[in-house]
Amino acid sequence: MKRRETSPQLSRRDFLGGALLAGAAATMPDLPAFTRAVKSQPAWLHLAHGGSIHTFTADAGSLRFLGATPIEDFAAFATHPKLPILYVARDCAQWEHLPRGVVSTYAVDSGTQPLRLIAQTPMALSSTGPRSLAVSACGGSLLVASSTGRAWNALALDASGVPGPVAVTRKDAGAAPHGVLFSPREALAAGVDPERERLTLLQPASGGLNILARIDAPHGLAAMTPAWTRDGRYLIAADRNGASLSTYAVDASSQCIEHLHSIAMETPVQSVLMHTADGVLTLRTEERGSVLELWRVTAGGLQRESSRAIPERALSMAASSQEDGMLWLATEDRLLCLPSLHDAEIHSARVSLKSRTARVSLAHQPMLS
Amino acid sequence: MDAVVDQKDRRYAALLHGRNLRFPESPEVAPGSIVLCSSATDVRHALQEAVSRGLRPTVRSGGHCYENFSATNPGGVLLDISLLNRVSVDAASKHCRVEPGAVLGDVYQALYKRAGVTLPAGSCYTVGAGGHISGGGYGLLSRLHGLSSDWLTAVDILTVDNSGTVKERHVNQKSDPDLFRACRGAGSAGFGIITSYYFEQLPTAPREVIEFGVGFPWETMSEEQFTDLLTTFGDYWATRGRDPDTWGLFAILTVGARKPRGRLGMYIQFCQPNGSAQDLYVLHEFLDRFDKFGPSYGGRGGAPAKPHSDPLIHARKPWLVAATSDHSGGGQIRGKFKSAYMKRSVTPQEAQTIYRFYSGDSVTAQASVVAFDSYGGAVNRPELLGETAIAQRSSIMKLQWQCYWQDASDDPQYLRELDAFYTALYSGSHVDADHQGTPWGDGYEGCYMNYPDADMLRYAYWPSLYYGRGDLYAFLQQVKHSYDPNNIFHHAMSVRPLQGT
Repeated sequence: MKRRETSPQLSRRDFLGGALLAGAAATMPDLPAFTRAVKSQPAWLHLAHGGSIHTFTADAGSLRFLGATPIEDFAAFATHPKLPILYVARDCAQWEHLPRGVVSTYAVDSGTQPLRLIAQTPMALSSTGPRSLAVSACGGSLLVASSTGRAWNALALDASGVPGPVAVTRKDAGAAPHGVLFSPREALAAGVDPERERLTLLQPASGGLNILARIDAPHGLAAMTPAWTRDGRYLIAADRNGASLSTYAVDASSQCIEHLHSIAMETPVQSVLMHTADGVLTLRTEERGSVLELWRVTAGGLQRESSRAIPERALSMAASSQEDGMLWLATEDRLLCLPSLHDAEIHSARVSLKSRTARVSLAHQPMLS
Repeated sequence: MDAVVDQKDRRYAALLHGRNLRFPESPEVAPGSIVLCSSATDVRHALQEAVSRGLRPTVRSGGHCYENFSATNPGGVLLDISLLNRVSVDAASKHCRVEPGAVLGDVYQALYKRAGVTLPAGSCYTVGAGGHISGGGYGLLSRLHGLSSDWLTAVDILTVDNSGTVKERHVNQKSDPDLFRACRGAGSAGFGIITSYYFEQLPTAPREVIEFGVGFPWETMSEEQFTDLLTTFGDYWATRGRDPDTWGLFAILTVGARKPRGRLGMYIQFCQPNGSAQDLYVLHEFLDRFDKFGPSYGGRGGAPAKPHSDPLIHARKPWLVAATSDHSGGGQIRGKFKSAYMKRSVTPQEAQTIYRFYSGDSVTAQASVVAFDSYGGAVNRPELLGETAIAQRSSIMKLQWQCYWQDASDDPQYLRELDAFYTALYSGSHVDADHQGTPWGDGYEGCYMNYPDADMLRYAYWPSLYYGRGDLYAFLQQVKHSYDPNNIFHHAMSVRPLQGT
């Protein structure tokens, strides 16, 4: 496999450090070689790591580091589907002296201060330990899974993407809500509770948050965000410890969720993402790197369409929701870009991370006109 | 359940607010529904319904909560248990049972008429027994008989287990003893819903009491005289007031704005320890100390006595009449409240701070009072420390701040100014550097949980202010972990779940 590096001589520290010294908006000299080959549509990449969110722009002409925004108690982030807004759930033990997490809302732009704080919205009282958050496809609702608070929180978003001031909550006795993700088709979200090992279909409603359906996961659940298929008909969730993948059929009209089948994995699944029209992508870690696998989802089962070994340990992945189908992976010290799973090329850029940690999150946010 | 009142119900607006109109702070944080319950079974069903639907339950008995623990519950369920209000006395055993919605005045009436006993609880007729008893509950007879929760022998309580199932428990010193201890002073701190209080024995109610008011010439009083007045008051409780023969004496010294007809006076109730009021030696001995301040005597509420008449001639009355005559607190108004326990008398520095605040012309000085309640006596029995969840067993006075106003737009100013006044009182060399602004130190014993003050949350050590510096709070966290593992019952100042759980 041919592998192209932008600048083997550039250290991790140099990459971002140099960018910061030269001005955060400056294009790194080695990056055009990396990005010229990448026919991506304009997007921002947000890399959360080491107490900061590092924001980049990626488009056909350049990959550019914009700046790092310090974030205390980062837990998870999600992008608005239509607006240049980034939501960050913060796992602070308390906010304004009350035990609860908080959602920070940032306006995103391509200037030298890529993230500008525009709102801080507390979660409901006692909703501590946010683990993931999701924004509905229509951009009208935001959900937060609060693990130690054993609750789901919903915030209504206004036309400018700013959350309303009061979160509504659903307490889930015995649960530890972890992953939550909206269907790409409707204001319906799937929530993962690895503690009680069940999946919950949640629907924000006026002044409340409805639980439409629940199902016990036959093989348990991993503390991981599930993936929808693009048509919203299927939900794929990693089972206990990521040892297998289960597929669930979701019928929103009849408020029904049904387990269809499960498939064992060679090594634990680390992440699962919606990707192609009828497929999901999984990331696994192996002894010498990572494996990306594309699965076609049908009522009859998961069929592996292709796989791709990556000779590095990827910690997080993000996929473009646009037609370019671009995949982005974050390793301990690199951003990797795969134009597609079938493309032999892997483009990488070193990124300077302040500390070595396995906790890396990556989000891809299209620049919509 | 008697009724489920949702936001479309025409009764909703009337039932939404407790006494403090500050809460809920906005329509957005109001409960989605109010469930009226008149039996323990009602409460259990309503609670189970709320938990099963993932909705936060909050509870109201009398509606006197000082903070937003009940009415502020966005989209949740407010369980109104004011109709769960029976008071019964077993004819043979004389054991008493009080339901949480009963108001104190009715409790006094029922206990007295049926058994000649009483609960050493608060003076305000309309306060609900539920929050009052579970949080300690003190009043005019507490120096003589202790706190109301000191007399508790059992409670019925609904808890929610880890799976979300409501459990009915009858807890006492043998059955769930840790939970029972928590309910004796921290019962409102987030363990469950108490549906009955049991008392195997209660003190005999006094036959009669002497009850009257004393006013002082506040407008013309100098700072030195005021300091002398406060220290005279405090010195009594710190010295002579510790003797058991004085425990039937209860007094509140109230300080308000220093202006014409401004408020500076005492309310006093006295009876001998045996419940009679024949020998007034202790009372006169106490009053003699205040002769130098030019007192004027009157009835309760400051009604003046006739000139040259015996100031106490109209003050003698049957105890039940006195105990049920205070109907204050029944209205609705915006308010803010604070508290502090004192283990010693008042210092000149403290008196100076109070004098200057109430001599000023701030709107908060005009709208507030600080009251020094006599305390101690039977409350301070050390053996109760390990049996109950009240940590303050060494104080001789309890201070309470009350501030009232009408308009929501004035909230920030009143809240800010009262907070600043309180903070100033507890700032300086008399408080150690790490606890400035709070009643912490050798002279103080923290704050009273039944007068919750959310301002104190800004201090990371706020649990120590309310639950003491010993191991009580850690104990309560363990109880919380065992009996409310989901933290179903929570409010701004509830016991926090153990970290990592």
